Amino acid sequence: MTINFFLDTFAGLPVVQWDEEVDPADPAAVAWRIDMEYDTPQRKLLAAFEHVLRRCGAAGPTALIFGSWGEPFEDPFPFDLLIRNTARLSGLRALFVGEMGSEQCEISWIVQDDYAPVLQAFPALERLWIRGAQKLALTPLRHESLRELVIQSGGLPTSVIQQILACDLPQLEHLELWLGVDNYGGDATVEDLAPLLSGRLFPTLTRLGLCNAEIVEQLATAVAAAPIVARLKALDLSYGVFGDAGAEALLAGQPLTHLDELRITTTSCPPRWRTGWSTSCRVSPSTSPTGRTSRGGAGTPSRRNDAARRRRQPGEPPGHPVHRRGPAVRAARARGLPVARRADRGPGPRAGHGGARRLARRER
Amino acid sequence: MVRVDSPGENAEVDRLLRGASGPAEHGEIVGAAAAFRGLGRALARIRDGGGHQLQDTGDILLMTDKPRCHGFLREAGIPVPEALGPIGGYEALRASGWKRVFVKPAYGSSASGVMAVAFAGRRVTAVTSAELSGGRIYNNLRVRRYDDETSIRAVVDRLAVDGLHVERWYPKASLGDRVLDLRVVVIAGEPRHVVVRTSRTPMTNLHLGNARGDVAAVREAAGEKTWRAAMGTCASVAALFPRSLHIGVDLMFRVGWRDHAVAEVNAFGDLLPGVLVDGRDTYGAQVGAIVGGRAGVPCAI
Repeated sequence: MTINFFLDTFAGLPVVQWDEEVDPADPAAVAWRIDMEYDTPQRKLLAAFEHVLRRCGAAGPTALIFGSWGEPFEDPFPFDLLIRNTARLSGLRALFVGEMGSEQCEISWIVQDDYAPVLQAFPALERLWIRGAQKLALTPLRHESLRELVIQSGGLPTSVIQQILACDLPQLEHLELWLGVDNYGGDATVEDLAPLLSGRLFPTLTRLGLCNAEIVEQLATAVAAAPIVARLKALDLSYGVFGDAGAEALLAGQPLTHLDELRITTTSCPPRWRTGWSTSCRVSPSTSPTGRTSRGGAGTPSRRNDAARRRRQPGEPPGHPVHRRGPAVRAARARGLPVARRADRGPGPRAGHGGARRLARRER
Repeated sequence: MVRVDSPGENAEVDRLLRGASGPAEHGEIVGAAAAFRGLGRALARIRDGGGHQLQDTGDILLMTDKPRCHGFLREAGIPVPEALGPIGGYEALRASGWKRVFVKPAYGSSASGVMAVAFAGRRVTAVTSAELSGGRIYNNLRVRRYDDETSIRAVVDRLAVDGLHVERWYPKASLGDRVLDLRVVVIAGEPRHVVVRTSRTPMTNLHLGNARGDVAAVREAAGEKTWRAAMGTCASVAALFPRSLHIGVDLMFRVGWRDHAVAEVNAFGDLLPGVLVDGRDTYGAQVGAIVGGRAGVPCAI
């Protein structure tokens, strides 16, 4: 139902909270994270930001993560804070705005803004991560340095996707879009993604994620024949409600054995799927941290599974980790599909009616 | 010695406590205020019957009265989320201007009727195990999200009949994409048995399909200083109830692990099956405390 995962590393750097009682040897070699409680006056955010700048020296931090900035469900992050300080942020290469959990703000409620001014103010920025898509925009531009663009949302509007696809990003290697669900604004169709899948855009793109997608099965069908796939090293369709039809479509399509990594999230993993892709397929346990797509307001997924995401090691045969995950089970349930219940899940869903589902005395 | 336990799911005990003519429907949330008054009467009868009470009658009632218990803890300097004053219903809640709140029935337990409510502009969303059906309200073991104000208003207003306690939503820490809190059973003044309750919803109560987490992993994530402070808080809470052999403290760490707060104190919170400390479960530890006659603990015999 929700996302509650926080990064340990960002842009390859360990994350350090701005007020943590540690003194990194090289303050430019960590990712600084600033997170505010809600209702916090903006001056506290400014103070935290100043604190980080002072600790980092003339070039400022290399990587910055902003969690909640106070009332992210009301107002966007105050980008002016960054833009007016470009001179003190000359070293900034990675930025993540909105890394907060559902206890702080539902992902589908996080208010964002047009990122074009930020990208223009930071021509050397290489990585941009954004969580939340309320009022999100990216007025099309050319950016010479951006290598990684990740937008995590419970619903990514078609208008934003069209803007992204209209950008000129000659260095872009990694594009990850969480499409979400229609109910939360994720109204894109496969046709809207056609320019991307055709391979005509982003000449350096090798890692593509179309995640958390209600339409993942249509995506799988499209991807099975998409020209861009030939040049990808990693394809990520995780967190969608991926079922047999999606798997069949992928299996029936073009070869995927050149991929270092294929991520899907599914309720089952028949051996046939595995042999269809590789004999060394790994199945991650269903207890691994996960997320989901349908139902739920926050409507979203969660953390990646490191084991499944790991890259192939030298000498290891190509394999395609296939996830089997809990959330897809719940998602299927939410769609009314029959799903075997795990034995350790406790009593059934309904207390009010329908039999002895409550225990005489419950562990609380 | 007299041990009082939760009425649990016993429909007849529940009916007697409420003083109602008939049993409630299965899972129905009804008559919480009447049940609380009935609990007071019943406990008084038990107390007057003599014997040694393992839990003080006044303590049980205080712990069960959420607004009063919250005020009592706050006055004593225990960290608790800020609470709104008495709230008559949904309109008053909305008018308070508080954006993210936990709405709890004033008298209740085990997440029964608890709602996590968030407002933003004209939007509102609520996560709860409560479900409105045919004008009645039920506990559902599946936690649901409501995004429509009409339903949320109806549930809040229905719960408000028996009194509400509203606190700021304390953003809980998470591990591995599950938010968590602790149930710490303090026996004879000492925090001993700890269960980590983890969830993908704001409701961590274990009967709602949630899972126990790894105590050692939480302790590591919190850091020794934060963990010790949290256990110290649990001990301080127990010290406020010196005539009760055990209390169950629900303790939350704030996201980022900087801070902690007490969500609830439970008079009947010692059901932690399979959790052993020094080979004893919560009941064994209580017997041990009684037999051992721990010095300075009035409840120990």
